[in-house]
Formats: sequence, structure tokens, C-alpha cells
Amino acid sequence: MLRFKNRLKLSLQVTCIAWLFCVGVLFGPVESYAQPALASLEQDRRTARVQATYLTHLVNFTYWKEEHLPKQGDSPKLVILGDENRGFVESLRFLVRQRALKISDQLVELHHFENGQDAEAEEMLSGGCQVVFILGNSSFSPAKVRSLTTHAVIFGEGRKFVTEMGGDVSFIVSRNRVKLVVSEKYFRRTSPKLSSKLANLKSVVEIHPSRKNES
Amino acid sequence: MKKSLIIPLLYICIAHACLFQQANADSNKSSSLSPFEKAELKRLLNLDFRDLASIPIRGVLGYEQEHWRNPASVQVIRPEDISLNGHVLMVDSFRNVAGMYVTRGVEYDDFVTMRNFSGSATEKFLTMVDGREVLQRMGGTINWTTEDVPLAILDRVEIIRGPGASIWGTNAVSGVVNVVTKHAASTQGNSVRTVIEDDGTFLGEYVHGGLISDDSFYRVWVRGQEYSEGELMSGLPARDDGYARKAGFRFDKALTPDLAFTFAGGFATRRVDHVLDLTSRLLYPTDPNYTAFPNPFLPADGNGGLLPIASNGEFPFIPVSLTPLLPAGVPVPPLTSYSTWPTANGTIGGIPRIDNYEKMPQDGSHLRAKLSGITDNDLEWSLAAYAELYDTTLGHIGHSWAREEFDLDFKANKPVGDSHHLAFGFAFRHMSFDVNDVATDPWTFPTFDPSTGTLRTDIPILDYGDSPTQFDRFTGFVQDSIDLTDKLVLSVGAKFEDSDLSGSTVQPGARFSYSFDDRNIFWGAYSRAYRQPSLVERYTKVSYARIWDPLSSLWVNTAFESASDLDDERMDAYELGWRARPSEDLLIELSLYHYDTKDAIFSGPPQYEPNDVKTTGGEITFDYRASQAWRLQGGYSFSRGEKDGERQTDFPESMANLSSQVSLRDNLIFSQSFYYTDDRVIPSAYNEISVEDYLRLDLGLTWRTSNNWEIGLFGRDLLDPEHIENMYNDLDVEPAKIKRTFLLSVTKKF
Repeated sequence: MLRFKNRLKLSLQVTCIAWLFCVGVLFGPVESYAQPALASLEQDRRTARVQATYLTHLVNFTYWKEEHLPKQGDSPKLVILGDENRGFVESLRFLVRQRALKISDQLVELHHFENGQDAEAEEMLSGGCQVVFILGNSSFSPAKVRSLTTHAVIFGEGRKFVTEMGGDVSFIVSRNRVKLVVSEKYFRRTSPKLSSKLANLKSVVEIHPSRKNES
Repeated sequence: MKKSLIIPLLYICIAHACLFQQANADSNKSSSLSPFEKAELKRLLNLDFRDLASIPIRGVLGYEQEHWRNPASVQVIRPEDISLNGHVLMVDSFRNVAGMYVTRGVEYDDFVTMRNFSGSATEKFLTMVDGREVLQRMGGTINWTTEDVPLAILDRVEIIRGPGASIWGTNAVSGVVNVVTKHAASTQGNSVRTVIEDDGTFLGEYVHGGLISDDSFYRVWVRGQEYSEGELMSGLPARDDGYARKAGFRFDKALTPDLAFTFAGGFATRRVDHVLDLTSRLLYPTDPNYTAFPNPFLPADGNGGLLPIASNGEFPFIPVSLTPLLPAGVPVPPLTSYSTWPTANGTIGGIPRIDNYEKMPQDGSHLRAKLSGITDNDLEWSLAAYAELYDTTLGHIGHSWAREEFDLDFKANKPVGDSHHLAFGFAFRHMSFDVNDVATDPWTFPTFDPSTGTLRTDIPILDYGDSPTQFDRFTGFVQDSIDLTDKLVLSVGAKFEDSDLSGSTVQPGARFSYSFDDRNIFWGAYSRAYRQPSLVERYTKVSYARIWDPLSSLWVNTAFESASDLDDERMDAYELGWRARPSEDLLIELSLYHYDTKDAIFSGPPQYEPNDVKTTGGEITFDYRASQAWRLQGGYSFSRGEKDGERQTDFPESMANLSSQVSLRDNLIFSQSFYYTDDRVIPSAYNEISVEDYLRLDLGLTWRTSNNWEIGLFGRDLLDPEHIENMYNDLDVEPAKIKRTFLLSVTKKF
């Protein structure tokens, strides 16, 4: 036991010294040159890629009534509103093309309207859309979008987008992961309606208001 | 045409095709996404919601193997890579990994080594199955049949070439094989898979998964495998038929949205025979006066009583089976003095062949429980406990042991500040062995034992004696991943280990990756890794031959002691790599390495002698999706080793692999695989066997029906009716023939 204790003590000392040397002496000064803003840009881009993938999956799990779909020959529309520079729009465009994303057997068209293109965006929304994503800096709100198009699923970012602003789905970054906050209405209404299978994915989906509170 | 020219020619064709594709890709460039990002999006698209929710936004370097900035040489094998290439077990698919040397010997065993470390059974890399270390500590080997899992539950196999000790710990010397099975929620319903080969070998698997409640899932599975009898190089039956049975379960429950619990277990049993080569184990001295070499009656000297070699370097003994050829009047041992010795069974290498087959039963079971979660301040953690029971008898050498093992493992990681990500962990392991050694029938004739000075009939081949049977191990590691800039990522870490087997070690490692641009990554690493000697290597006295003493007319036992002060193998590894993605459809990777290993052990008698080994080599691999319908993957590896200054010949220096999958129709896939393996020598005490280079071609057709049937028909080794690959040197007499086979696989999900 004494042999073991001595061995343990010695090894721990060596480990600690080696570690302090590496981190404290070598990388401490180097750290001052680090560019955390650039490092976090990479995280933002990854968040955007995961969000875009979620959105692509969610479209496949959503049901629209016949009357909420475009006329025969027209394409269903996915509209993104606002500015961004983290590759979200490009990621989504890539996935839509890659997956050949369809709603009711029709290929989806993706449209992006930056801030300043409000008039064009309103015209598009008024014509009917199936999915709308409102970026954080957009001048559009869920209520405004709903006033223009009644049968779109409205996506956004941050918990408040669902809990306070009336959106259907929002992406949140919690515990180093991207998760979903989904309005309970999205599961309950008849169209557009999200598959109830997703309600069971507690590690992925947070439903608002929670069913437990409601009961 | 020489076989070795075929692969380079194929590569030239592929390079042309890739460059053409690249030119097109450049002309179409319009996106702000890098090719690496597009490739990642394609991967994410195949993940379900649960897997997406487990993607970390800030990863820990070295943990997320598929991230393009990972500063290591990594290849990931997915179930499709196994089924579409006509592989039966996951170990077969390692042939598609450059630097991995996979060979077959008997029907029921595969040999796997990585980056030039002996084609023998001693493993120099770490294999984990769902976090459980599966190396057999007694012999330092892995039983690939016992550790394999049904294809339906396999998520992926991550193969990390090069040492990764700062995260993975001891025995991650030449690499790590990390097997990950699916969450129980991902295997709902039923799945049946059967594989039948034309020689009668059969595999059947059934997996059933169900839902207990909204957040609780389970699965159970069974597997049966029948081995048909093969044929040895000489044409004799290989006596390697037998069977393996396996069953397992897994239960997953989400306790809260951020706390998950897993409970799993498995049981495996295998019944086969194995042989011990006795051809050259009863020896007659060619110098009956013992003037040219030390007298074996003398106490063991510094060489541990090793078989003496004459001063002129010649082996001064002949097998006793050759004594009838000696001139009349020479005092040869009477047959009655070794009456239990088997009679000859043909000849091998010009010597009467003598072998002894015995039963080799193996039973293993394990339980695993794991809690994992993430706290509000982004601390991601897991606490796992493992219990394992393994029981085997190597009847051919009279060596049995039962092992009980308990492990507790805590791991965590947490982002610190804007640019650090700290990972750390602690683990404890307790192992206890119950070892029993007996003399097998052939060896029960009276023999003088110099270590006791008595005549004995019970000298076992392996004698564990009073060596330690209880072993504890404590480990701890800490690693920091540092985003220095948007281009440069550093990782430094060390693993501390204290164990009864090897004392205290510190295994540091440092890795970096640098992004030249959005298509090219350069990475480098320095690591120090240790491999513990196996218990056999360290503690077991090996009686491997008996010598006739004409002066006393007695058989004398010859043994060597495995040194209990045998040091750990220590490797200093230097690696450089380049990862290029000219387009989202093409990935090219180059890895170069130099390993400097002290006290390396190579399995097999006459002794476990530590050697200094230097190994230099590299691999180049590519993964190219030429179109939606065609995927091409390949790799070439070169590795040259020197053992104590002498060039190694027991590992093929060059290997190459190329596989292609073409979708002829939406539901019909045509697969082609080439494997080239350079020549090598299987070492042996008396009969070294040269294995010529071989080129293997497999072709297959997989038909996927609309109602979840998958039917595959494959031809393997189509270029050669038969060739040899490997054997357990000094146990097997000769290798078995690897024959051309045809295989039908049928999978149904319902």
C-alpha cells in the first residue's frame, strides 16, 4: 500500500508539472493571440448547418391539408426572411437541392428576402407559402407573417419566438446542442400539423406550453 | 501482368476521373459553403432527430472522429460498408482501411494488425465496444467473433490509426478501433439477417426492438454462427469446424431531457478445436556429448534456460521422429520413453508431422450501465460501469482461465471561455483471474525437470504458478482543445495511469490542425503510448520442448521464464497528415508516421524478448462519389519496420484496397472490391512459411426490394482458387487454404 501511495504521489506530481508546463507556459502566452470571435464563427456556422438539417427533416414530418397547398403545377414555397452571414441560407439551399425536398410530391422552392426586400417578401407571402423562417434581425414577426399567409409553419430562433411571439418552432442552443422549442398548437391543429411522433423526443423537442403544465 | 502493377494503374485512372470531376466542380462554384461543410451537411441529412440533437456545437478535438479538423488519421465504417461489400463480420471490412492488415487462418478466427506490427496474434491497438475495452489481458489478443455484433445494431466502427493514449489510454499504441452500437430507439421492430457460404459456413441474426414507454426503449438479439471445416495447405482437413452463439440486450431511457440511462449486456459462447504443433518439440541432440552447446541440466542462466544454440549458430537438435534415420548404434530414445506421444500424420517441411487437436471452449458475458447528461453550465458527462466474466480453456496447451473484471469510468468535457474545451476523466478497473494449467496427454511421459530436480509427468506447457492474479488500475486524463485562430486548433493532454501490471505511466500527447483554406487541412501530432505486456508474456513459464539426454537416457524439460520485470512497450509516435476536399464529393487523405518503440514484444516462442522497433510509413486514401449512382473508395499503405536494426519481414510492406459501388438501378447495387497484399514471412521455429503477395477480387450484387428485403449474392477471392494468408505461428502446423467462396446474404426488416 505504501509502495502504491508513493507511486501514485510521484506520478501525480509528474502529471501536474507536465500539464502546467504545457498549458501554462507554452499555451498561456499563445492564448493571448487567439481570436475567439473567429473561433465562435465556426460554431455559428455549425449551428446553422444543424438548424438547416432540422428544418429539412421537420418539413418531411409536417402534414398540410389539400387546400393549404399550392395549385396543381405550382411549387410549395419555403421563405427565409432577414440577413445572415453564417451560411444558414446556403446550407438550407444545399439540403433542399440534395434531398430534392418535396411537399406533397412537389419539389420545394426556396426564396430568401434580405432586409430591405420587404415589399417583395410580402408579395411572396401573400401568394401563399408553406414554410417561413424568420431570422433574428428580420423586421417581420410571426403575427405579421400569419396575417399575410395563414397556412405556413413559422420558424425562428430563441425560446421567446414560440413562448411570447407566437411562432410555431424555434431553434435554441442549449447545453452545447441545438434543440427545438415547438408550439403545442403545431401538434394539435389540423393543418399544417407536425407528426405526434416528435412529441416523444424529449431530448430533442421542448413543447410549449408543456403538456404537464396544461393538465 | 504483375499483380502489384494493377493497383497503381487503377489509381492513375481514378486520379484522371477525379481531376475531371474537380474541373467541373470548380466551374460550377457558386456557393459560400466549403466542400467540407457540404460534405458534413450530407452526413447530417442521414441522421435522425435524436442523433442531430447529440451533435455538439463545440466539439472536443479527438472525440468527434468525423470532423474534418480532427488531427488524426480516421476512417469510419458503417453497416452499409459491410453489407454491400459482402463482408460477414465487421472485422472483414477492416480490409477496406489502409494500414490495417486483416488475414484469415482457421475458419473461426481472423487476425488484425495495424501499421506494421507483426502479423501474429498479439494486438498492438486498443479495441473498444461501446466504451468497454475488449482486449484479452491474458494473451493480449482480441476474439473478433466474440466481440462482433449483429449488423442491424451496429452504428459505426471508428478506426483511428496512430496512438491516442492521451484520451484512450494504455494499449492505444498503433491505433484504436472504437465500435459503437445504435441507441435502442433506432432498432425498433424486427430484423433478420442470414448469410450462407457455399462451403457451408452460416450466420444467422435476429434483432427485436420495442417501446416500453414514450422515453424507454429496449432491444434483444441472438446470433448463431456455424463454421464449416476448411482444408490445410497440405490438403489435410483443418478440423476448424464448430459454432458460436451470442445473445444480447439493451435498454435506453431518457430520465430527463438531459439525462440518459443505458443498461446493456451480452453473452457469447464458442465451441471449436485448436491444434498444437508437436512436430519439432521432442528433440534429439546431434552432438551426444554436449560439447558444442550448454548442458540443459545446468541451472537456467541469464537466458532463462533457453534452448541452447551451438556456437556456430546451427540448431544442434533434430526432431526425435528423425532418429530412425541415424546410423545404427547411435543411442536413440526408446519409443517406450515417450509412449504418450502421438504418431506422425504425414510430413511437413520434410519432417514427420505430429499434431494434437483439443477442445477450445470459450464463454464470455458482460453487463454495462451508463448514465450520461449535460448540466446547465454545459458540462457534458458520463458515468459508466462494466462487469465482465470470461472463461476459456485452451485444451491444446492445457491452459484454462476465468477472468472477472469490473470497471468504473467517468468522463466529462466542458467549454471554458471562448476558445478552450476541457476534457477530463477518471477510471478504475479491477481484474481477477483463476488460472489452471495441466499437462496435456502427449506430454505425460516421465521427464526430468531441471527446476525441481525431479522426474515428473505433470509438466504443463504454460505454467502460471503463483504469479499475481489480482490487478487494479487507476487512470486519469485531461485534455484541452484550444481554438487559437479560425485556422489553427491545438490539443494538448496527458493520461496518467497507475496499475499493478505496469506501475505508473504518464502518456502525453499534442495534436494540431491547420486549415490552409476551405479545402485543405494540415495536421500533426506527437504522442507517447504504452502497451502492457500480456499476462502470458509477463508471468508464464513456457515449457515448449523436451530434449533427450543420451548420457542419462532421460527426457529433459526445456523452458523459459517470462520475465516479471518485463517493461511496458513504450512508443514515441510522430505523425503528419493532409486532408483535402477539392469538392464535396471527393476526400483525399495522406498520413505519414514514424514510430520509435522500445521493448516491443512479438508473440510466439522461443521467448518473449523485448525489441527496439522503428517503423516508418504512410497511407493515402480517397473517398469519391463520382455521381449519385457511383461511389469509389480506396487506399494504399506502405510501412517498413526494423527490429533491432534488422528489416522486418513478417508484415507486408505494401497494401492497397479499392472498392466501388454502382447503383445499376434504384434498387440494384453492383459492388467490386480489390485488395492487394504484399508478400511476407510467417515466422516459425523450424518451418518459416513464405506468403506470396496476393490480389483479391470480390464482386457482388445487392437487390433491395420495396418491402424491406435485401438480397445479396457475392463471389470472393475470384482471381485465385486458393491461397494462404496466416496462422498462429508455433501453434498451428500450417496455414489453411483461403478458397474462392460464394455467399448469399438475405436481410429482412419487419
